[in-house]
Amino acid sequence: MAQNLLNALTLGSLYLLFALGMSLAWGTIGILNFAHGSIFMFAAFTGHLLVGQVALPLPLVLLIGTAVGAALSVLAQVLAFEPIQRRARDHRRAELQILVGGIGIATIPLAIAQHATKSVPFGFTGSTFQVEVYRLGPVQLTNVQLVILGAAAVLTGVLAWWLRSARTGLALRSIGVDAEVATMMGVNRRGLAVATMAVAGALAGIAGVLLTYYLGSIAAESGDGFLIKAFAAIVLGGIGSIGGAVAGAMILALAETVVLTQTSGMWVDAVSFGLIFAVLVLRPRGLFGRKEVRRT
Amino acid sequence: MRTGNRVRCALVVGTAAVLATACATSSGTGGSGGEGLPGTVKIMSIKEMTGPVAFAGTHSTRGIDLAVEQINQRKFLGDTKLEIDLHDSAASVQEAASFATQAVSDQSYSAILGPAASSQAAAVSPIADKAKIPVIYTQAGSDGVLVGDYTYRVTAPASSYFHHAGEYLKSKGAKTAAVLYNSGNPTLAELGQETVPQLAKKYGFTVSSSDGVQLTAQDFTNAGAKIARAKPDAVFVLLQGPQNPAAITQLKQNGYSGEIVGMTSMGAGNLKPAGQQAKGTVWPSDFSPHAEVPSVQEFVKAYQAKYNGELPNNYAAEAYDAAWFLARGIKEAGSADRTAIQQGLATVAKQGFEGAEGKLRFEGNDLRVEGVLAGWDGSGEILVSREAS
Amino acid sequence: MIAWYEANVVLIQSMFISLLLALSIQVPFRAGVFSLAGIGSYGIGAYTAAIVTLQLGWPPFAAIGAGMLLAAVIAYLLALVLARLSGLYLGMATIAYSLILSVAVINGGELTGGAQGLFGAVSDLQTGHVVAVAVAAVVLLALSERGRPGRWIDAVREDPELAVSVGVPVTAIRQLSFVVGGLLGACAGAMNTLLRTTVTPEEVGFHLVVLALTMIIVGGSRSWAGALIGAVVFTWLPTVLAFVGEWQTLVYGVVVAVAAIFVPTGILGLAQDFVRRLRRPALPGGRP
Repeated sequence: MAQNLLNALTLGSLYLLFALGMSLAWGTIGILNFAHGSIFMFAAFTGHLLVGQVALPLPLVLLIGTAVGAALSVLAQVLAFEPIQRRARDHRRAELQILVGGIGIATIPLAIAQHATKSVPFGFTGSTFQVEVYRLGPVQLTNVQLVILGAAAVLTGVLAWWLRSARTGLALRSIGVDAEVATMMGVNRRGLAVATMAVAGALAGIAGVLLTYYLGSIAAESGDGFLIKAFAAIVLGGIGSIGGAVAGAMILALAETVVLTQTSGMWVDAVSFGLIFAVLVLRPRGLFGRKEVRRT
Repeated sequence: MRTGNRVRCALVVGTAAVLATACATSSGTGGSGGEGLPGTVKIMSIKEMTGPVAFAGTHSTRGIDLAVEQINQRKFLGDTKLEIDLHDSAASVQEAASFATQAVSDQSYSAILGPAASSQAAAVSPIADKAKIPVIYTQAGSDGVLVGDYTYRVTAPASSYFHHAGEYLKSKGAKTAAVLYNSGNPTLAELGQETVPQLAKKYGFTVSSSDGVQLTAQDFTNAGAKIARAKPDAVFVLLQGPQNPAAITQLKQNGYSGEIVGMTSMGAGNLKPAGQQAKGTVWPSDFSPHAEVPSVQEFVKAYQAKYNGELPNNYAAEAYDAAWFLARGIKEAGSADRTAIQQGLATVAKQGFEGAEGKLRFEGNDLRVEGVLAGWDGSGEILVSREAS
Repeated sequence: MIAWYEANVVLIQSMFISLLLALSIQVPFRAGVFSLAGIGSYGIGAYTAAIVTLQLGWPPFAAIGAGMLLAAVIAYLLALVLARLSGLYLGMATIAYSLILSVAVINGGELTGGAQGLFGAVSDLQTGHVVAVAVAAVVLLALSERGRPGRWIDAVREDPELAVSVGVPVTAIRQLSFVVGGLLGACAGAMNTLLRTTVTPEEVGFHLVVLALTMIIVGGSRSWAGALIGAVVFTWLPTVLAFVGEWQTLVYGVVVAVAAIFVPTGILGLAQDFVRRLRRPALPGGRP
């Protein structure tokens, strides 16, 4: 039982790292990035390529993943999402275009990784990092799990503090509330949007590298599955809310663990889809989301 | 001269009905090689060269290329050359079906080498069967693939040689076994739900737990922990290629130390990411490059010579055999006519032959092989048992 | 010509099926309803047709009809349940609904054939039938873009509050768009199953959502003509791209991304702008 809880917590932390950036970008600058999963995978893939050349330690691989994730995410923002937002006639139209544009962009890193690996799984076998297992009474814990739990807790805390207290964080939140007024108040919307996407991409990169260390290997297609999971977590918690993302990720991971351990496991995906559906029907703004106004 | 030609035709083919078509083809295309064959026989190869199953498509294409090179160099079909026209069906059922109709309507194609994915194959089969063009598949394990006389499969069902796993576990004295299988893949689901329980009955162990995971599952933490806690003597890991190293890593990290038995999806380098942790894993396979059967070794040597010393995997071996099966069928038919080739294939299937997968025989249109027990020694694939032959 | 037709008959069939699928998404879009439930309906149609053909031996049009009826009923229920949602939220709820169906068919046991799916659903459905059905659907939808129904639908999309105040039955039109989308999606799925004689769970997945979305975004989402353009483009694109070989998926992604960024109104919008620009010099005054 305690072991299941710990595993669920680890899985939840990975979902959280992945979902945080996605939720932040969606909730503030209005960008639902469907290439997030692809960026996440490609960060790990770049790490894999480098580890194949030089035996690198875990912190360095993490750093590379962070940089690659941030760079790709910024690239997508500058080349695609920003032009779309600048040109779109209305908000709804922009949402749709960003969605489809993201789907298109996601294909590019995926195709490259598929081509390079022939869809054979890849890992960090060349890394100097060795998995160690600790036993604490009935539960066992690996050093990878410790890193994942630590990274999720620290990064979430820093992000929450930044949004609440730092000047730039407040400015970002103001965009989420009313973009036009925020711009009039002197907020540099463009720069903040790029910064937000960089943070989101960096978090995805960290999640990608940690997942690969945790599972031993991932495949080029692994990003897609995570995208839908993160989506469920975000919708569940409420878009743009840090607390919501934490709650959403943990509830989803726990629900999946319960289904996996208590049943034959064939309905796991239905859990995340079912959660998305049920939450949207019963409480469309999620557990912690802001109320949305709708008149008809 | 004319009578002489006709006699030769009659000798090769035997029946009067086929005689007409065989000779008609030869006179129609001019420049014919001996025995009523045209100068070239064109075959369409529909393979997944890109997308999630690209590893199967690219390796089978290597096997086919090698076989065709040999067939043409050795003048197996006299002066007739075999020509392969490769089409990438990617991950699309619709594209596979579309290529099949192109092959059907273009009379210059004599046969099809089919895709590996069951869903694509199941869409190609009815088209080919209706139009009476022979299709030879590798992989494509689903029931809906072999629908009539014109569809053949040169990958033996894993269940037909899975007894190697049973014998291995018996020799290790295993009494309990857990099953972890992919419920979204027809072949793996059948192995997990039917083959292993039957094996358990026959070889005296009990199935202590059976867990299905989804087609694209990646996280085996819970499944691994659950199985490791129950400490069965053996665990059957019946997953798709990319899932195998992840599942084995989780089992080991959770302290599992019993036997791990898989299936051919563990081959083709898929266990590399798990490295030393997967050491000792075994799986029944239709092919091992280390099997000491002359026809297997001949294939392995030729393959290594052509591809810079790379060891062939099961996809390459199966496709190599498929291409040779087709060539034998064409030779038997002595014609590029589709119906004649089908009858030629039926004759070859009845006799069986020796190829990259060792001794091949057919049950109906489906292949059966002896099979071997392959294993992973931490860095590469090895041959575990030799009592197979 | 006949030889070309015979060789490409599958692509021609799938072009019309893609058209119906694209329309099943485009119809709700036109009413401002971002519903992707048409994909789920495609699955319902595909499996229903296979099941009644295999188990009851129904003729093709009865099988298609059964699938459409079932999908329409479910789509109506969905419209009631999801009435409060709009925009991306609605899109996500309907994607989730479609994907739950794809998990369900894997776990459907004997009825749905599990992971293997169903095969051997042989019927005498012809390419001509598919074309006739698609043309009939297009004609009906084209009519709905004209006159009062056309204005009503535009009003529901552009300004629902105003539409309510002038007596347009907004709720009824939204529900109707769900049902029509369901009918079209199920029709596409059922015909595809009967033409291919087989259906597997992997055919009814997220990639269909992506395909349908990209078809109408690249083609144009405001009119049936946009869906038609999208269906034509994405049916033949792989054939056209065959020369890039292994990089086909990459080029495909670039095409979709570029279209989404630079051609917001789709190819249809681009063509309409072009026609307008050709006509403008003839008008007196012109643009300042």
